[in-house]
Amino acid sequence: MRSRTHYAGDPSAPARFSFPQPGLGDFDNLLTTLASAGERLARTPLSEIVEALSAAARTFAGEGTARRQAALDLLEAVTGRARAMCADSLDFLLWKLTSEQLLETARAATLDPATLEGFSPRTGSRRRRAVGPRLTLHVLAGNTPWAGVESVVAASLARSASLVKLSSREPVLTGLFAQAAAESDETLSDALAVLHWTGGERSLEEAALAAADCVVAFGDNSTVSALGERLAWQVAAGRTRFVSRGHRVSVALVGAEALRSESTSRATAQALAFDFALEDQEGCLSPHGAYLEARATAAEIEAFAAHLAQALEERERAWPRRIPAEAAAAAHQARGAAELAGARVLAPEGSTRWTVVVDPRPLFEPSPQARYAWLKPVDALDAAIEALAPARGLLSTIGIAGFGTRAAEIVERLAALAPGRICPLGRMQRPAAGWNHDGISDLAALLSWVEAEDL
Amino acid sequence: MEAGTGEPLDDAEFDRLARSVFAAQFDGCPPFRSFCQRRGRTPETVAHWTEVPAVPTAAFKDVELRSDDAPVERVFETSGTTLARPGRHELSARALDLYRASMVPTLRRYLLPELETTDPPGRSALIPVALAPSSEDAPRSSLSFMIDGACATLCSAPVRHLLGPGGLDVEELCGILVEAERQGLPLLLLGTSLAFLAACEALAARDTEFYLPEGSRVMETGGSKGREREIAPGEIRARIGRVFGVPDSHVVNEYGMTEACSQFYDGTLRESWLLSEAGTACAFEVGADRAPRAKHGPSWARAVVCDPETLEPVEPGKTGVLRLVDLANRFTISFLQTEDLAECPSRGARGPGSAPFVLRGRARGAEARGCSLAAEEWARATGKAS
Repeated sequence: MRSRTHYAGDPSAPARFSFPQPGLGDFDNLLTTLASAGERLARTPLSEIVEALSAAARTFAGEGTARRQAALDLLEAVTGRARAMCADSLDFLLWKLTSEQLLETARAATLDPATLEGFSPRTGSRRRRAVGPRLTLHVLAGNTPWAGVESVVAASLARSASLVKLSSREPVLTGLFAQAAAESDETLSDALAVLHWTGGERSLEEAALAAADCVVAFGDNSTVSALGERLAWQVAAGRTRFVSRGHRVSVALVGAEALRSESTSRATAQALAFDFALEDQEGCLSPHGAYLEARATAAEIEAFAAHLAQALEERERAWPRRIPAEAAAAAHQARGAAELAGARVLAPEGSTRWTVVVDPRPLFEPSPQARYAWLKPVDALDAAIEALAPARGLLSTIGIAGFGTRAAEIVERLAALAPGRICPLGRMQRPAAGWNHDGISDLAALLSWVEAEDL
Repeated sequence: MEAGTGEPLDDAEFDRLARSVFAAQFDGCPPFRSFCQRRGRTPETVAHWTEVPAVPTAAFKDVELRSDDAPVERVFETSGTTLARPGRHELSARALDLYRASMVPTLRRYLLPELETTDPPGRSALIPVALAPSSEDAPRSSLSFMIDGACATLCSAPVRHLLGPGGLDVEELCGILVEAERQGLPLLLLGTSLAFLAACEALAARDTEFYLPEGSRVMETGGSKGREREIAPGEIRARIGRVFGVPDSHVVNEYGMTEACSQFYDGTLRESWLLSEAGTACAFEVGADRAPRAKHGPSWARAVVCDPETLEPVEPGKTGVLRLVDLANRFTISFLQTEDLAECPSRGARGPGSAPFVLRGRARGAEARGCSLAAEEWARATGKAS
């Protein structure tokens, strides 16, 4: 089979990949093989799959092992993110791939994991079970690398075969994980295929879209909607399940109690800095900014801003940031526009490595995704909720801190905005196993439920 | 104040003018004054125009930036962006006069250089055709203002506008092109790159190509940003050249923005004309490759390539973000920081920022770097985009 070279990462020193380039005949054979493998996988006990996946994850865990080194080398080269950051996020992913956490993922999606393998009593005389797709096509994009792995893991737990179309920008981790999974279990090995092809290769894509009974699409909203359009008839007819994973926003809310004392102000700032700096603010779980409940005084807000600036500087030392010229340019634009509109800008001289802006205007505005943290003091939480109203349905995560005993009440009020997830600050980009990914967990999104009535 | 394009200003003269404009804008525009004071840069402390802080063009969407106590007569807005609030350039009557006065000589120099052979310069017999709305239909468009104003001064014939509320009038375009070929009357076509690309697609769908009479030329601006698949500038002009039958040298790209009164142009048409005036045979081969072209501007503007992190000027050959110093912006703000990437292949003969620059866009087909909703998508997703 022919192979093709692909480059990703910094154009001046890119990582070089070699991918097989199947002809249409080979590809059709692959699709048929995957579909039969999917049928065999569907009869494989869940416990065996869980064991295989966690064994695969363990091969990345050992410091200094070849696989871990390769993963970190490539991730660093391809994403431009600090190695220490990649390692931290990789380890979090691996923790979610332990047997216990995988079972938790199954439980979160089904309430009763036994329904993944057979009918279970529901109510009265109704019984139900979940059925996964035969073949899932995962179309990956330049997301954080963990999204692709979690998607394939979810499909495997649903006992579906997977065909992965790798992202041009980040063609690394999902492929490495699939290799590891294939090594750890033969049935899984037949049921996983990871490829890269360019958007122009329509015939391969058409074949894949026709063969898959589930398509998970990552990317910006234009890309995902274009794919959705191509599948619209199949979806309407029930032939294909379409899971759209477009771009989303996340935001933080800080209550006045967090700013009251020096120590809580500092601790909250550190948690928030972690959330802002992780994945260089490019993830859907990365906050664009934080609303501050301004029962706090001006002095407390100013002090908090200074603590956040300090904490972001510490993050820079732990996770040195490299971003393309466009992002730096965008950061300068946003800084200048905010400053001229009356905001207070804290930033290191001659560098865009982080920015803190105290902006009196409540309007929600996306950040330039360059560790750029806007802080918007609002008189009452109502003003923040009102400012976030246009984002209803688009909110991935809301991180909160500093509401003390009011936290439960705040969570109730925020629910009206329909965010996928509300969590404490410092954990915005560390979602639990089986987390509610934009309204539905990765595994739940793949499952069809079958109910038997009176039978 | 306008010395005319034929008289290039050396750095000392430009510096003198720029610093006096800085002083006027420092006094006349309070937000700009605070911006400069926070950086310790005042008319007293600034020793050279390169030290004047540049206002990011994004600020024009949030704040009124004028150095003028005369009332606003016209507001130009950035268009085709998907941001919730457009950038606004607010001009009084005298600011508009300066705008008109400044745009004419530069367009003449780079698109109609033959007019400079007479003194005073005459009008062109080329028939102006705009793939852009008229100023009446699009009163907030600075491009329409520029096309209509420049053609009114520089052309004998009135401008035909082929872009209306209903889109591009392909029928009328074909009619004009057929007539031009039949009568041997050369055309001056002006418009956005996007409109030209749409025209090329429409004509390709009819399996039609034209060979416009010698002397015909195209001015296109804006690039293909906003299309599903970005197209490189070299490919855009190759398509236009092929479909309209105009030599590569005569497809001239213009770089401008709503926030600046001055424009920058490819130098290929002028160069080709100079060569043919000198009797050189290879005049029409100028610009025949797909190589990125350097942009030329008027003597009262400077374009400095700055380090994206520090915003300090960089050496020739390094890519950075473009800072414009446009003295034709006398009544608003002359010192503008853009977010456009560019590179100066060589050092300018008249000091910093005087050399032509080459624009360096984003990599073609680049995937978004993450999964977070960017500003453009936000506006569309929340229903604020037009």
